[in-house]
Amino acid sequence: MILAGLAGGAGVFALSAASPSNPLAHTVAGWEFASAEARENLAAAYDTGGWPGAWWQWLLTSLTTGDLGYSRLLHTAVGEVVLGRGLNTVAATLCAVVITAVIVLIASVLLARFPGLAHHSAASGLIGAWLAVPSFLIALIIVVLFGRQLPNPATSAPITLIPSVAITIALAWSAMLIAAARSAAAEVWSTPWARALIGRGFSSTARVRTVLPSVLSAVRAPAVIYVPVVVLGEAAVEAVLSYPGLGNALVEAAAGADLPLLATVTAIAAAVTTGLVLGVRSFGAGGDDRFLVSGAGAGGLGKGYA
Amino acid sequence: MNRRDQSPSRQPLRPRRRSLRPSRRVWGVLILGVLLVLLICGRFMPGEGTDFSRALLPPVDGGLLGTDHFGRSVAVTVWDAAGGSALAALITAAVTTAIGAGIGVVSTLSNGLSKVSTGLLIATLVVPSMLFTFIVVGILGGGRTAIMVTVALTHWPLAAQLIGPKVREEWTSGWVRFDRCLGAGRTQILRWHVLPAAGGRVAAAMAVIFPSAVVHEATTAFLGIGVDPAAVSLGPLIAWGQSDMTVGAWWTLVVPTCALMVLLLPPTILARRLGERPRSL
Amino acid sequence: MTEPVIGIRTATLSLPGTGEVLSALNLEMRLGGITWLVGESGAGKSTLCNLLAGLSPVDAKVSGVLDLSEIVGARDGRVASEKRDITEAAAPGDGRIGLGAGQGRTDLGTRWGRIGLGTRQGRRAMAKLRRSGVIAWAPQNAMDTFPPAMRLTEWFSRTGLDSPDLAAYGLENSILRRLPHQVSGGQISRISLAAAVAKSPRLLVCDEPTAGLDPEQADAVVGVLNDQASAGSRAVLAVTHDLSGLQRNARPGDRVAVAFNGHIVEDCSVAAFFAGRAANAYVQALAAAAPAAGAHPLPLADGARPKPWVYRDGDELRRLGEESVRTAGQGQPAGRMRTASGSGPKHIDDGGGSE
Repeated sequence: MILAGLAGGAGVFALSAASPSNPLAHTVAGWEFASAEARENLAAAYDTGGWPGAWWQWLLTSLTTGDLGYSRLLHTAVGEVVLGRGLNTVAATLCAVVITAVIVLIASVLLARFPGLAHHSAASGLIGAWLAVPSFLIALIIVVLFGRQLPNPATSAPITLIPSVAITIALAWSAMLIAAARSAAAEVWSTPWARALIGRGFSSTARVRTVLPSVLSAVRAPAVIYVPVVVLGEAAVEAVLSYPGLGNALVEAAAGADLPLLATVTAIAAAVTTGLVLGVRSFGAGGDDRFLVSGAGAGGLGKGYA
Repeated sequence: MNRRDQSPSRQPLRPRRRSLRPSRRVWGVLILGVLLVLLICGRFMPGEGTDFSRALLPPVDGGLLGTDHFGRSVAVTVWDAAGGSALAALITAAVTTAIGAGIGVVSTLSNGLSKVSTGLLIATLVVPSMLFTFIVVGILGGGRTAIMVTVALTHWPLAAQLIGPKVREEWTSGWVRFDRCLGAGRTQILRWHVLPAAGGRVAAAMAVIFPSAVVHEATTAFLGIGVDPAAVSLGPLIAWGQSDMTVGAWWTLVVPTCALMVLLLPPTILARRLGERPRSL
Repeated sequence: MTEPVIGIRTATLSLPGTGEVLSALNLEMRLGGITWLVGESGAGKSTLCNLLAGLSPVDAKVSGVLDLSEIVGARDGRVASEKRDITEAAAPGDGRIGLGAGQGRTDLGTRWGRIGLGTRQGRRAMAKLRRSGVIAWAPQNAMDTFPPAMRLTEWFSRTGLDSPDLAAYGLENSILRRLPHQVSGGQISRISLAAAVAKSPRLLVCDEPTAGLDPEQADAVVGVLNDQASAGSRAVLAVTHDLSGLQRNARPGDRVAVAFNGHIVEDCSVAAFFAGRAANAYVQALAAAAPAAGAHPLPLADGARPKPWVYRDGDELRRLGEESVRTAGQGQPAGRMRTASGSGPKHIDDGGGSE
């Protein structure tokens, strides 16, 4: 059932946005840039109505070869955009993952070290406030405060822009994960076995070592599931910081109704998330759906729009 | 009785009361409500006309909080925009929660239906809601209404997951069965058990969806996707503020940003507080 | 009675919305013997144990002093240096421990070994004492207090005990290779006790060590506690609800402290307790409730018995308890007579072997 839901989610989006039966795809973009041969092929596949799979396959190949998938705004084949800009996004994401991991690990160790921290109302309020700041605002603050020090996006290499993008994404991401860690820590520290660690006078390192795995296991599921959600959700960040990533391309495509690009990016996001969800489901702790749902819920409660 | 009164130093043997937390929570909700009403009033204020001769006047000179790029009073414009956002987000949150609660309760009726509901929740993960909003609004247009519709479409499974199982759990609980045996009717059980139990979850769901809707609108409008750049909305105001900042007009950026945070902070913190208890969703 | 004692002086713990759970509680725990803490549910027994274990709720207001002055010795008669660790100063030879000067500072209790339970410094000192094993705690429901997914050997090595010897508890050492849930309830409570005792504490706090055990196992556990108390010259505080087990196993010289509503209303010897020679009526009634005494807590009232579920005004046992708290000195609970200023504890006459 979950599989059906996943497949449905991915398929519906990819199909509705990119299928040849979508009249918008014919009129707004793609069609006018397709070669005459491609048009004939498509029309033939469409008219015969034989195998829906046949024209779907044809569509995929034409998208990847750049025949139909021609971005109106960027004047390049979608495949090239995805390859070139996707790499930038991957690089920024990897940096963000590292920064996030460090932040979340520090927070988790603190939560495991100090039992009262998870229940502390100031800590809870701080996390709430942190979660409330939308990520485009964080990026905006960075631009306003450090605008002069930041490299000029028009002239400098993308790699010089990575730190600011990665930090912003990491900030948005770690808030969510720390919120999950906090509630996990609150739960762990209310169990008798964790309280017994205090009562029995375990040293603080032993306490951290015993409690930390429980805290981190609660962070794992939302962390993995939300990789593409956060990264694409932070398209706004890339746009504000003028980072030449996929998210920025996506924003431009949405603003300019550039359908082939939109459809491709959406399909990629859907595919990656589907893969990750399935991966967590198959290999994650417990491997049951409750785990996934609680991960989704933790994110939902944490970052409303993720 | 009087024995007890003679020794004030001792704790009277009353059943232990719960802590004062709930009443604090009620206060928080009340303050939030008043704030919301005040904000929404701004929506119905007479709007300011554009007057480029008065553009970018600093605070005091140009009224309470200065004037913006179009010569409008920043205070009035931001109030208007924030009020509009708040009203739309409130309606969205209420409608989404209602839909989600309905579907959630129905889906708990059978095992298969609940699996469908879980599947849908995970399916909404597959396409990020922000991406969905960009696509729909970018292609179809429709401004604020369209954004709110996409928010409702992507957020109802969250409300369903929060509320449905809780109602079901309450309805099948031992104490409800006990009350039924004592002859309590459906409405009584609803009033005594189900509504109080679900109330917290409903509030939590709304407190999640409200800021989410505000952020969706602000981000989409900020990026200029499907929105008239001169529209009275927090996103464009912040975007204009960013460009006016370069000529030193800091108030055009600071005021709408603060207004956005005022809209986002209380419900998010409230959602965290409410969300602390339903940890296992 | 020349054995030194560890004292809890005027321990008060109040929770917001609940009020005082412990009110100016005084308790003395003799080294070399078990102090049995009995009393009805809600009297504050577990709260006291948790207080010593550092597990009071965060929002609790705590005051009071843990008085270790009689077992503390400063090295060379001089004040130990500030930095000195307790373990370092501990001198097992003469059975006296030294405390770093940080725990003996003026605001804590003006003298050596007096630890303020409510102060931050005092809490830190208590944590240090627990870590070094001067105070040990064996929690209630031992099974839940072990991490469910961790083998017991690993757990023991985290506490700093690599090869605990369980022979004294009638267990094979190989049992530690199992997970907690693969061990029976009686075995795990003995293992829990072994973990608490392993660092040879001076004060051992056992929260219901015999709960949930069948009589044989309960007797074995009490046997272990007796051995520990006498052999290691330790003070043992043990909470129990099991009056018949107490009567079977306790040595007549052990003391029974009766808690009621946050006070210790009586502190007498086991023999005196079961012989009904306690000073106040509540304790007498409680002792009479022991199965061996016929399990009649009270002589039947003249009229109809009070309805059992009318708790507040109808419960005779409770009424007696309230009365005893009140008559013990007009708002002064019985315990407070034994002030910290040195006037000797007001012991009820022990009367040795009255059987």
